[in-house]
Amino acid sequence: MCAGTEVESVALPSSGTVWSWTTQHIAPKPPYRTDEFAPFSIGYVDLGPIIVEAWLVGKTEWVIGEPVNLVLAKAWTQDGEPVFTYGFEVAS
Amino acid sequence: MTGAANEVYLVGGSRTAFGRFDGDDQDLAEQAIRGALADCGLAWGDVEFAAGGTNGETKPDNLVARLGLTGIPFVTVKNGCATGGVALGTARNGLIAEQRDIACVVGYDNHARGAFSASPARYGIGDWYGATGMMVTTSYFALKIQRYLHEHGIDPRTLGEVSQKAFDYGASHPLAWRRKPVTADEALASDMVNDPLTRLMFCSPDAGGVALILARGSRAFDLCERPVRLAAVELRGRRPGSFEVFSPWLSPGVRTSPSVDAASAAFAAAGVRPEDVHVAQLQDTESGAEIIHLAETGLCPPGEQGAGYARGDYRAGGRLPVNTDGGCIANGEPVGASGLRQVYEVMTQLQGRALGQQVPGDPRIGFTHVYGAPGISACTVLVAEGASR
Repeated sequence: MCAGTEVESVALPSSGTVWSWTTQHIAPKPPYRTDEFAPFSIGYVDLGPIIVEAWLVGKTEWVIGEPVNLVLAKAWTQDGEPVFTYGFEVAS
Repeated sequence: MTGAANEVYLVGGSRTAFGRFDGDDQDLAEQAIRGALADCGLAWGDVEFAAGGTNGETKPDNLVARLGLTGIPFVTVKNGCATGGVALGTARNGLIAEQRDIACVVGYDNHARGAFSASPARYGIGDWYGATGMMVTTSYFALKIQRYLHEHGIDPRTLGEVSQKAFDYGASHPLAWRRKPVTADEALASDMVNDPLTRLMFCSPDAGGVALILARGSRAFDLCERPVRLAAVELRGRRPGSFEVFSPWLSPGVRTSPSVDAASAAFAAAGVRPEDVHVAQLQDTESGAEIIHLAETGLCPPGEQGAGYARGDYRAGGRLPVNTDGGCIANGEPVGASGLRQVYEVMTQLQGRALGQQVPGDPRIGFTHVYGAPGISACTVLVAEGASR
């Protein structure tokens, strides 16, 4: 039922498989932030103990089950410096 | 025929046209309430309990300023897409708990153009989630149906067939918003919004109002020739394993849904089975949602929806007509009104006076389902009373 209040941090694997994906073809409304909008992919990545939602970077067409690895991805620029978020790219 | 003291019946109803509206949202609410009262020959002074819902900023309980200061309890509900179902349940419970006879339920909204945008803080999520473009309702629906089609081996073409059915029903309905027929091919070829969902597969927020009059026990049969019994109205929230909007993570393993729980509770309370249903309304925020909800409510085995659309099962002459007024896809979604629109449509189908395509063959048992953020669902079972037509 998951009504507990005692929680602990667990390190997650940095690679997994695409559980689902979509590509955002229309710029989201604020609070979305970007330097310049281009269609981008979002997915759920199956890491084993948990499925996480994340950017899928490097392309805009994906296949469920595709292996992916964790990467840092630039989200926007602030005061001339890049701001990064987490994402996954195709495992090489 | 008389009604048992703790049974509640629908005896009147009215809806406005749905679409863009230039006036005040409470104009829509007032128009719907006056229409519903006229439908069963009552006046506002006869109403003993009221419940109303909107997702906007106005206060439903202040509709008394327009209708009359009769001193009755007027409960306001705000439960997102499930608002209509919750308002209906609240009024039903109010009549039974307080042993009152007549209740009015109203839902209305007048939304701005475009998809809803949500604030991460309201959902207890950090600002990064919205800033990185993940807090988008259309992408949630796309991610959910993309996975569902994969798991159940359903052809993405079915998404286009859902739209075609919705627009065909809408084209026949005088108060629907989208009344131009669209083919499955046109829906599939329209602008991609979030793979695999295109523009013609989504409903849009718009304006509309719906009101229903409920009566308890024998009063129902004085007021209405063919009252419709509210055999069940059940509201459920999410449990672990459900896949809800604005989820930065999901637990692995078995999937569940508040729709599964609300539907099975409603069928159990009503004492009917999903296969007994003659006409149904399902939350169709987009084409994929209707496909998922057909199975989650028990109306179709998972994976068999594609064959059902191909056979025309969900058309007016088919096995189980679904969203016969065009649903959210053809009516848009004024959030507060949408669930009551469904109930109004099924009520009129069971009474043989549907405004659009009438289901043939004297339908007797109806079902409605709403579903929305943050993982709630409300379902009703409606049963025609009185002699067969």
